[in-house]
Amino acid sequence: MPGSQAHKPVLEHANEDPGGCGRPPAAEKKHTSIFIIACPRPQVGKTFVARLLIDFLRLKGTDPVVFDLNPSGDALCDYLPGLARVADLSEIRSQMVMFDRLIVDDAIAKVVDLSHTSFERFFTIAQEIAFFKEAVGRSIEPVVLFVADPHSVAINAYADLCSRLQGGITIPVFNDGTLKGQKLRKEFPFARAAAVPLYISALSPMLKAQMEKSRSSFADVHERLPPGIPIGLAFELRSWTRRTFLEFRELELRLLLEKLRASLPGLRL
Amino acid sequence: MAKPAVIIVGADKGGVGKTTVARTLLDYFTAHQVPVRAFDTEAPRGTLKRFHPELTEVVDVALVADQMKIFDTLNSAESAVTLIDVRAGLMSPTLKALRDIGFIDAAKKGQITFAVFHILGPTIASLDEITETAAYLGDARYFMVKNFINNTHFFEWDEATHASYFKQIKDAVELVIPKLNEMASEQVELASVPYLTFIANKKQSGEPASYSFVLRGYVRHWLGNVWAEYDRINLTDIVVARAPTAAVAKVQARG
Repeated sequence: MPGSQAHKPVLEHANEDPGGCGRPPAAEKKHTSIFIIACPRPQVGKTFVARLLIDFLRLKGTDPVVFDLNPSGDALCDYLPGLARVADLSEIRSQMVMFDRLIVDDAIAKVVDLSHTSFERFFTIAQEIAFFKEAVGRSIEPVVLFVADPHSVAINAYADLCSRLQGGITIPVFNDGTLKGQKLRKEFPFARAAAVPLYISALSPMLKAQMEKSRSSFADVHERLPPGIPIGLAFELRSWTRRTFLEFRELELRLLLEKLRASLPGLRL
Repeated sequence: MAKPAVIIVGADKGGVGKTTVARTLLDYFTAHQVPVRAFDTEAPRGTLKRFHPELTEVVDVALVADQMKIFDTLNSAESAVTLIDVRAGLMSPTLKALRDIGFIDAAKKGQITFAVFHILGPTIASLDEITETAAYLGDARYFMVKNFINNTHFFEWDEATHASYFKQIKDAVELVIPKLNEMASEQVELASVPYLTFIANKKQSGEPASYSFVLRGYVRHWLGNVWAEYDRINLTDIVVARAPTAAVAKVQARG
């Protein structure tokens, strides 16, 4: 009902205690981010991007909270059985388990690996329960990492998400492993400085297969050369991992810079 | 001066969600800063009072003393709106009592704003209720409420049959209350707080609560849709209408 929009300010104002009871003052808190890896198309490398991001976040010493919305096959839970929890949007209890956890401002990063089949449902529910607005109200940063694909379904979904996502930021991710050199920058435009696309260069099939087979963590590779593979390939893997993690680090810095700019409007950064 | 407004929420059938609608109305007026008081006729223990204890008094409309409590205080009460949540089966007797004490006539003369929210059930018996109710309505604003909160499946009304009942009441307006997710509904019931308080994550005492964010989101979304229906009928304009001047009232009385 379009008329329901008229009441949003009144009903949102009613939400006087968004964080629940006993929260520390904002100044004492550390920053909380929610990363949603999404694309309405299959086989674009969402789970791979999610896995890389999780390994990057783990390097900081704290495990992120991870929800896996892939119904079956090649799921995040297979790689991170102790960390990723299977989520389900079909019934309300499962929605509560996931969204009620995501919205907690506890300085722990959250990662959602969204399957292409859950894409529409997830964002519809999020919009209905005002998830992104509520997150921003709690100083939580919702970031959608949209894995780019040349299909019109993905291009339209990206444009739609950018316009309808109030409070969150949508960032294109160009995964060269699946794009294979295709340039899609025009199809996935961005307006904010913090939404500069992420580039993940292609990992040689042999190394990718090796990482999948061994279930190794990219965080380990980042720290030391992986054993059991020829030294040349080990260097290549470590170099690729560092390059990829640098993309995530730069993303973090861009987000931080945007926050600083917003808090210091008179200052040129 | 604004004239007092009386809203009756009722149905002759039980379990159609009368109190739910009454609760959304109380929240609506509270949010729009329209002073409101409520009477719950589910004596001795009212459901409405459980959710809105500070606004609600439990009464027995069959008792003259309680009728006085409601109607003799209309002009002196601080509240612009008096809402009466009529217990199942008491809709027609209540309207009859209002006619007998001259309330319907006072509404006709424009001294009181009178609105009836008739909550319809899914059966054909609801249409018969409309006929019965029509006899007492006078110039009341009449709203037929289709309440889907209880997962009701309304029968497919034959257009001609529907029209024949519907047109018996002048300016009748249909309202639709959408369905609220069962678990969200259940949690608000358990919390025993107004919908607005639930959305604000608070207990009846005003202390912070720990209701599910998801459920609060669903309740907020649903309440927004219900209020959109009240906006559609310009409910606040209806209840804060001004009393006619003495001269106008005289003319109206003659008419």
